[in-house]
Amino acid sequence: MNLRDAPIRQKVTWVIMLTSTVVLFVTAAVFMTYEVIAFHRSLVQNSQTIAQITAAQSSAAVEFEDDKVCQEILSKLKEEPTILLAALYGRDGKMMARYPASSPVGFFPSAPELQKYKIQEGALNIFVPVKQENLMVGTLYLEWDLSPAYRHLRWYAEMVALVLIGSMGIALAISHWLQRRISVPILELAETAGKISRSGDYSVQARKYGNDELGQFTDSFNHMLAQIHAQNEALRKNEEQLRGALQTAETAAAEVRTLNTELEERVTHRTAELAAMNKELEAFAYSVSHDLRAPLRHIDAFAQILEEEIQKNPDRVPHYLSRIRVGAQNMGRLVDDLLKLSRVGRVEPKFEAVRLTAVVEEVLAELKDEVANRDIEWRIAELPSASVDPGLIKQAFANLISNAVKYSRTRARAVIEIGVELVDGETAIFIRDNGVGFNMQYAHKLFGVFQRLHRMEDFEGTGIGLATVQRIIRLHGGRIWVNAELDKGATFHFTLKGIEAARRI
Amino acid sequence: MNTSIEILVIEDNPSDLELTMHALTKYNLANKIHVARDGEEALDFLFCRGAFSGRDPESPPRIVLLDLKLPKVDGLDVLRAIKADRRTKAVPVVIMTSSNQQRDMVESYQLGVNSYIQKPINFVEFQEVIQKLGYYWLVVNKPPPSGAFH
Repeated sequence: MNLRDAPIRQKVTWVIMLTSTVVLFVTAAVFMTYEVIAFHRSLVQNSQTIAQITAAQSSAAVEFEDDKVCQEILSKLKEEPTILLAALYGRDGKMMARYPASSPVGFFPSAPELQKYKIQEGALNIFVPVKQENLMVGTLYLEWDLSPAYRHLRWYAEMVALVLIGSMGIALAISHWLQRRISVPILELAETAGKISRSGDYSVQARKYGNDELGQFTDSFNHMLAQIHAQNEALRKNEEQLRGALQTAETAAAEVRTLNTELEERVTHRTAELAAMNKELEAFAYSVSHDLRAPLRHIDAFAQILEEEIQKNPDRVPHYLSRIRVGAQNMGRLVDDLLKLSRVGRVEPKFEAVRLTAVVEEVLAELKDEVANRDIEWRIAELPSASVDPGLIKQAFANLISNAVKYSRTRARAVIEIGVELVDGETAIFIRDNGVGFNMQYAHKLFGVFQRLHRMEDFEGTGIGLATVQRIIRLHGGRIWVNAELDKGATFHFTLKGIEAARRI
Repeated sequence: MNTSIEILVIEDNPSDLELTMHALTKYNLANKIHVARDGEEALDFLFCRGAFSGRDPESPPRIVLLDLKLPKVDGLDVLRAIKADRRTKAVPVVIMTSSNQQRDMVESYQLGVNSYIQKPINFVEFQEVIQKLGYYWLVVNKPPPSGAFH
């Protein structure tokens, strides 16, 4: 397995083991090298010391070529068990004595060599000159057995190896323990991070094991987590707020739309009102130009004719005079009616509780003279009370009742009925007559200003009365309509917003 | 000349009617005049309906004097009906009105009125207007040949 992908605990173990092993090996190698060199030097030195002592002891014997003494001196070398062979050569290089004396000559070098020492075949060979007063008289040869020394070295190496193995064992144990101290927090961090990445829950915290870099890292990690968590919370809150704001905005927009619709409705309504008012105003102007000019024209014209005819046809004079008077009267009536119409709407209505029956009685009392010569059957029901402007409502009743009286005057016995009934769930007052009525084809014109359905010569009138009534009823939040049949009579119905529900019907 | 009506006067106001008739009589134009007292009666007369069902619709009057302000069907509606019908569209219509409203005048001309006269307040002037009007339409002006629009 690639080291890079190995688990961190293995990596830590590897690092520790590798480091300690390398250190141990290097140490052991250095130690061993030093030991071998030191051992070797001390061996050589030691051997040379013994060789020089022996050479010094044997110098006289060699000078005098006393082989026997030489032999004796060499035999003392048995004190040093590691000396395998020893030999003394004379000035001429001839062997004078050897140790052990029994060993064959072939074991020894045939002649002394110039080399001070050499190591070969597990033995140390030393050549030391034998001097007598600084004159070389012979050569001493010694051969040392190196096997005990090598045994010692081998034992030493074994000890080192043992220590090495023990140390590595300890290092492994320590690395295992250290590895746990390092890897566990890291592994736990990794696990925490994994958990977070899987669950997306930033509210968890990693466990802290100490104040080392890992501890600091854990702190940073936890701090980061806390920040992310806080930011998430803030984001969530913002989102909620935004959603709330959005909802509020939507609600507000809906309200604005509703208000707009209402406003549009009001504008439409107001526009319609204004259009109606404009129409009335136009009709008023029309009347001034047409209806109001007519009587003036008549007065002027009949005065002119009177002037011309007064001599030729004196009997026609009263007729022309009456025409002049009719013109003046028409003029007066027009002015009166127009004033009444213009007053409705100009003065703010004052609503109060009014007994409508009392209003009808009042109107009838005022019509008393007009109906004196008429045969009228009055059928008057008890009317409810209503919140109305007393003056205006009286005018409306007066106009409607006098219309009923006027248009029923061709009847031998007129029947005029005033009552209240439910029409489409609404309480409506009605005034019914059995008069001349009219063709319903022209009903839409009836409430227009200066609109008349009857000829002036049949029924006098200005065409302002019903327009005034309609304006009054509208001011009271009600509506007025008419049903009629030619030569059968007409029934006017109207509603009032302030009417008390007539439960007894 | 045939015996058919030459002038149809449509006027509801008795005083106005009397003044018109007075002027027409004064200048000997009062022959063969029919008076309609409102728009409905005028249309009944022109299209031979109701009380006039016995009349010949192919003999329209030579001129119609029309007041604008009339009960039931008003003058402009009468004018519209006259100019919309094959039998009567060739009949010259002269509007005589007290109104000086531009709106009325514009609409009248759009509907094809032949002449629009505002009644002068001064009666002498009014009589002169009636005289000129009768002379022009009944004497000077050539009516369309009979059956031209049939």
